[in-house]
Amino acid sequence: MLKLKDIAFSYDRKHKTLTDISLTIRQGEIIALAGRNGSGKTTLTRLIMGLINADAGSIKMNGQDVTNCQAADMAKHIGYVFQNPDRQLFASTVREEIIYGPMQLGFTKKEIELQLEVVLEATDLTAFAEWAPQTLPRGIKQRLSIASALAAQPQLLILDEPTTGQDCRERTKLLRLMRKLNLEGLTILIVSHDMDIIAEHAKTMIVLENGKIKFNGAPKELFANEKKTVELGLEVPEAVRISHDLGLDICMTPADIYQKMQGRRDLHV
Amino acid sequence: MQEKSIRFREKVDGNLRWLTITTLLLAIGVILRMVSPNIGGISLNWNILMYTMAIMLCRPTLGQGLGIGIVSGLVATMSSKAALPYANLISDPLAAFICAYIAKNHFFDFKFRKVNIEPAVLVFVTTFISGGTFVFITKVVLDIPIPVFLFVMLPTVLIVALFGLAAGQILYQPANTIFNSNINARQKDKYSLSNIHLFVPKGSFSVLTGVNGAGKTSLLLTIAGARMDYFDDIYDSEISINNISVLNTRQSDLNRKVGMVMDDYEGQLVTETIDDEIAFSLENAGMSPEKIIKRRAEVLQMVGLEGFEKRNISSLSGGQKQRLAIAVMLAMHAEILILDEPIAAIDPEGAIEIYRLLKEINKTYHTTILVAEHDLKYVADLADQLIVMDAGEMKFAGSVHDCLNYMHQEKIYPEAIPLRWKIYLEMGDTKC
Amino acid sequence: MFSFAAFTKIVFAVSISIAAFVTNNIQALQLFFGLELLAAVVSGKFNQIGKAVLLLVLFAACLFAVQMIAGSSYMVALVSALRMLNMAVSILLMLITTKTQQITAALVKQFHLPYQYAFMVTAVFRFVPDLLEESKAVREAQACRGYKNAGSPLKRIIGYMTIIKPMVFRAIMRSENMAVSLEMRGFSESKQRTFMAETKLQLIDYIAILVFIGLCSSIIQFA
Repeated sequence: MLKLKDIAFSYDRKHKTLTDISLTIRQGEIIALAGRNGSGKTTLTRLIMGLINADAGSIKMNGQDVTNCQAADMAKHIGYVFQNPDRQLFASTVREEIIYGPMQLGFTKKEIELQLEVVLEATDLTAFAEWAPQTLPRGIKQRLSIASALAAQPQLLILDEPTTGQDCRERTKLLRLMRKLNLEGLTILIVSHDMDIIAEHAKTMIVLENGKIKFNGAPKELFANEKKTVELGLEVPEAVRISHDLGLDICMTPADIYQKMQGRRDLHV
Repeated sequence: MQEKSIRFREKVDGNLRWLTITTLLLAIGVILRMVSPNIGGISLNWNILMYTMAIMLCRPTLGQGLGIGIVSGLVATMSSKAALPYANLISDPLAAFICAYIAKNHFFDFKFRKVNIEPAVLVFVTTFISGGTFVFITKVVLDIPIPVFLFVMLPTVLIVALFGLAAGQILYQPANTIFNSNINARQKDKYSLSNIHLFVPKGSFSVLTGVNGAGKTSLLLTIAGARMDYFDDIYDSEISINNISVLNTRQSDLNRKVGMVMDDYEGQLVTETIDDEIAFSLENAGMSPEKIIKRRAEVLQMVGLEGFEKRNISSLSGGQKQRLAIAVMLAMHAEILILDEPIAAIDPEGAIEIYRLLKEINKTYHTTILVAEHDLKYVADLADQLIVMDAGEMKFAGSVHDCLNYMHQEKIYPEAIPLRWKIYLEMGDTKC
Repeated sequence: MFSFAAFTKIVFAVSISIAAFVTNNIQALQLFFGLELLAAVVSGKFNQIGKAVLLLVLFAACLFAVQMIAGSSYMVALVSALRMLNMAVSILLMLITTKTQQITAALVKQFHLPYQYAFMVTAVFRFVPDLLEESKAVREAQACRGYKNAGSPLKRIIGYMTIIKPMVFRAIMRSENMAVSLEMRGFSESKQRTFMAETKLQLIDYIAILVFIGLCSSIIQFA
């Protein structure tokens, strides 16, 4: 669906922020982007969104060249959820917030009404439709950011550190929502520091270091190699560590561990 | 440190709120002046709009109104490369004073076809007075011919005032809703906190957990003694620190003992550089410059910020800002350090650093530490005591093991139990 | 030369401005302007304010033109243009050579401005960069949802309101925390507050003030 080829980017022409970035995002997958602070993750997502444009290389979306498209043009294809909800909510009510995108993109009145309802329902925000976004609790603000991005019916949703500042209950809810949207066919690119999330949810994982892709493959493949994981500045997911400590085969999710432990216990019985 | 059965309802509105709102709004005014589009050379004087908003929201005294005007005039003089820099020092105080007078007496606080037109009228009047004074001074000082004054300058002021009127009307209502929403949301006939019986031993590291909205922040603020103008109605309660009653002690005396880093620590840092920030509270306490310099060097070293003294606060990372906020509290010789969600906006590497630092401070200086944290991943191994709150009540306090066990059994915020502990608690037989 | 106290520099700027207001003599005004430029060069700050001075010169030229169009005499037009330049550049020079903290400390100690207002002035400047970043972030978020920065200026101003709104709202939310935190840091109790910034006048300051005021008045007298 989205293809980046030999992308390079620099903010100041001296230090290269991104070099030789080539990657493919396939329809319907959850793809994770990880790496140390300053490795270029956010620069890469901003580049895909069109907030900044590449110095070299090309970006193709569904076969069309979008290398030099601006964010406003990409908005109908890609939804972008920033890390800090406070900085992306600007309307007076939740309703106005959600229809902002569709209005800017010239949806018809009927489409807007329909989208509003669909999105409110999907993100479980119907009860808050008339609230002022700024007064909402943090967890709900984050869901509203997602709702606003979804309203334009994008094919790809970019989530930049979506769980920052969320408590564990909100976090669980948010991940469930992400999962649900993905099952309904939405492609998701998630930037996260949280390897537990990546291990559990991502199909593909890309690791950046100093603006270069250092890993591109299934998360399990990387996490099985503890040395390499740590070298890239990442934490080994808790589930992987525990399965290791318990002498189980490598597990990527808590559910996995339970299943394997159950299996082992059955064996003993 | 002991806390006994607090029950109270919250009340917002500290007596410094007028000051902080004006400050932040004027800062917005400054940047809007820098970046806003203009029409044929006419741009809104955002500062006038901003202080009018502040005055309408807070209805300050006339003296404060005049002060707000002086501040705005100084800011305008210092930030703009204006043709006649001093004019703002006269026009803004005059206009702000009159604005405060009108706002205080609610002269225009009435509805016109169901719409409250006070913001529109007040912004218009204030802008016109300020702008009018400004151009009049310009006219006199620079000998501007009468026709230019009458047919160019005054109409320009009128146009700007009309823009201001529209902007004020659009902005004020929602702003006022937000300003009061905190109050309304909490005016339910319900205690924000109740049934809190907590003992925090000297030199311990305690962690307070619970979902967002469980009352963690309110509890921390109360312990820090911030309730003086932040809350009211404290019933049947007692908090004591080293046998000194927090509820009956003047805040200034208390501050020497308790330092609190709030979740919005960026709003807590109020000066331009790291050096100034540490000095700020010490200057307030009346410490001599020589002593400040010495103390400052000590605490910056304690938090690992030495070498950054002259750095601008805006250029620091989240983790560095957090460490600075901690250093500020240490500078005051705080015996108790309270932190509200210190790592909420920090990446994992920074988060581990912050907790390592806190543990070190705890061990080396025997500072009592109390942290609110919704994610137990980083703290489960550090804490001497874990406390769980739910819906404004304290549910359990005890060792990490006992508390997690309680959370697991009673299903109080079980999502927070780290996976390792969860497996251990569920499987019972396997210690991870 | 520029290690004078903030108070002294404020006196410089104000006395030049007063002198420029009092006199109608072109030579005197030119001399003052020359003095300011000289001071800018000597203090080594000329690079920093050069652009601003250039803008002000342009503005002065406009002022001159407007005056001429409106039918003032050549002399009157030139005097007001020069007068404006002198006032604007003198304060620019004062600001560029003095730290904000020194100015506010002087305002409190020597001009008897209550401390809380002086504090507000410094705090405003502290939050400017943060808010600037915030305004950019909001604009980007809008771009990501299809907003294009186009259309008539009026439309753009109205579009701009959507940026101001969240910033104002956040300021209101933040003001609560900030108020509590100031309270906790002993802000309200700051009766015996000390100041790190040195405000005391040295002998050299007194001499400089006397010499400078003498110079200004003799230039006016002589011209």
